[in-house]
Amino acid sequence: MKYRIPSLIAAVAMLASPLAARAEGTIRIAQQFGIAYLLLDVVQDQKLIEKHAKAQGLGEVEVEWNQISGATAMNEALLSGSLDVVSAGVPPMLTLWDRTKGKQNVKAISALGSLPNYLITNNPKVKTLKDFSDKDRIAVPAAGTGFQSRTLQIETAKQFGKDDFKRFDTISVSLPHPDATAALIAGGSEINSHFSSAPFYYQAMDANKAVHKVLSSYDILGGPATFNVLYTTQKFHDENPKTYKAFYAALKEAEQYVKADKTRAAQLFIRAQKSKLPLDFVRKIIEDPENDFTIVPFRTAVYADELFKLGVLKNKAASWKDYFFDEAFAQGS
Amino acid sequence: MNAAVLTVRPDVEYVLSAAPPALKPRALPAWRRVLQHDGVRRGIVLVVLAAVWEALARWQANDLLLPTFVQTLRAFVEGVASGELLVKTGISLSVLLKSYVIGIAAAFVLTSLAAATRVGRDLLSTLTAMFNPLPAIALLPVALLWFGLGQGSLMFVLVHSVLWPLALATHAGFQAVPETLRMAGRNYGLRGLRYVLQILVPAALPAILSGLKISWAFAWRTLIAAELVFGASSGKGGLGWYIFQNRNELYTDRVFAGLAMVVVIGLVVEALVFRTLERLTVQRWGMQRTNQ
Repeated sequence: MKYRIPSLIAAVAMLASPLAARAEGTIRIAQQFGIAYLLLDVVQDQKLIEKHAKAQGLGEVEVEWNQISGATAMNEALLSGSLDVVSAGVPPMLTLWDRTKGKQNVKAISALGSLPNYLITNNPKVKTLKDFSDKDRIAVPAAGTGFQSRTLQIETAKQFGKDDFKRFDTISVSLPHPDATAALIAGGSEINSHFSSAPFYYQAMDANKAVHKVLSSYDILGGPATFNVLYTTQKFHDENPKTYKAFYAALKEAEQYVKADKTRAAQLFIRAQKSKLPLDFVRKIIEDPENDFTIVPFRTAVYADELFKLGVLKNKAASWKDYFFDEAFAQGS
Repeated sequence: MNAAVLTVRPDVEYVLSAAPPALKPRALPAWRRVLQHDGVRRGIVLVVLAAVWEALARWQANDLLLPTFVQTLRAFVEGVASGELLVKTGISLSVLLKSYVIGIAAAFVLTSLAAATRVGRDLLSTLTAMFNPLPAIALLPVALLWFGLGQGSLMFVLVHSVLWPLALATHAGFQAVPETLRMAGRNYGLRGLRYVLQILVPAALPAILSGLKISWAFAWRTLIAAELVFGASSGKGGLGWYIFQNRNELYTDRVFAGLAMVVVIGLVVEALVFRTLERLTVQRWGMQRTNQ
């Protein structure tokens, strides 16, 4: 008798909730460190997801933000279900797409911007890729598998032949960007080269006159190319359509926000990341015409083709739309 | 005195009845005879584990998180056939063996000093108490600063992980050598190094062997962990690097194959090296049970 009301409530609750374990309206996002993730800083600071969710009639949306370093940790968090949306370079996203095709079907949501990565060195003898010797060490965040290593492998295959594409992996060392920059500025370390991303190569080239550029990822890819992307599983995309659309709209608005006023965006970056970099320095980076903070993907198909040719990817993508969700199909390459 | 009278007892033959059938020795049934062998029983344990693994992995159906036993076996065979796994294992083992030998030599010097002099004893007990609990991996950043990115820092860390457990075990073994043996040694006029080599080491051999096994395990563990953290040493990675790289590339079956290789090497070293050493020394001398 006394259990009738609680059991009635439980029965109604069970009928009301959908079969999915979590109802729509929560999203767990992770970003990495650096100015390349500016669009996500804007989305978080201006609470754009909550705004667009309300506009769509979704009501309250719970957004959980995380900051992790490294594509491998991102991939593992996504696979194990700890995160819904993760961000990393194009090659790690392609690797995960390749391994989960037909299973979890991980695909990209949108780009986060086209930014170049510079291969810089403080060794005066090194002017081109052929000048690197056994004595040099190239620092990258994730040796062998990250964005920088894959881009270097593609160029190595072009210059030294497909069979030798891992040639520079033997002198690559895994080191986070800040540590590598410090080593290059100080000099005298075994680490004398760094495949660096913004703002680190700006800092290194400003602080030490011996540091010079060997090549840029834009040269390797044939023009401005997407650096990093957001990606998620098919399950999250299908089970949370409204949240997904709200997120995509928030990203689009973030792009407009940055393009409208670059000084305001620089101030937002410093505030959101608690950065000690001077405002002028950050503004200079955002205004640099090489850096395009856009959600439209550019030249991602170059990675898909080249990495398939090198045997890193087992599946061939017919076009860039194979590894993007359809909301992004309007424009891209 | 009374003359002892010897009574001659007649010979008697006691005829025994036949033994009851229940007491006759019987041959063991075939399956029991097979199970007598150690290796067979262990093999059955391994087969059952493999079957449970396969069932679990198929039920999970997520081979990026848990590949099946068959997938791991295939990755292992491919790795061995292409030579990659063997080359990387060889690199790891060569660094390990060099450091192991240096560690043994250093431990021997330290404990001999401790056996001979009071200063040596103080030095050994203080150093061991300080450095034994310090994990070798914690020293890796310091080693990288001092010795750079090459093999030097790896060997430094490995010698640390071998030296202290071995010195501790050897010293305990030496302390336990009975006084009778020591006096016998002094009777022969043995002094110094000959005394240590001919009296102390053989008498303490069970403790020394146990120390050797423990420090091998520590060194192996430290090496794999250091390679995961440290990356490629002088351009050629070892087994830990193989595991790390395949985890980055999301080839989880190759990660498991690398782990399986670590296990296989552990089993091989235990069975071939340590057990043979035991059989030839301490078990033959009656210092250790033979576990029949």
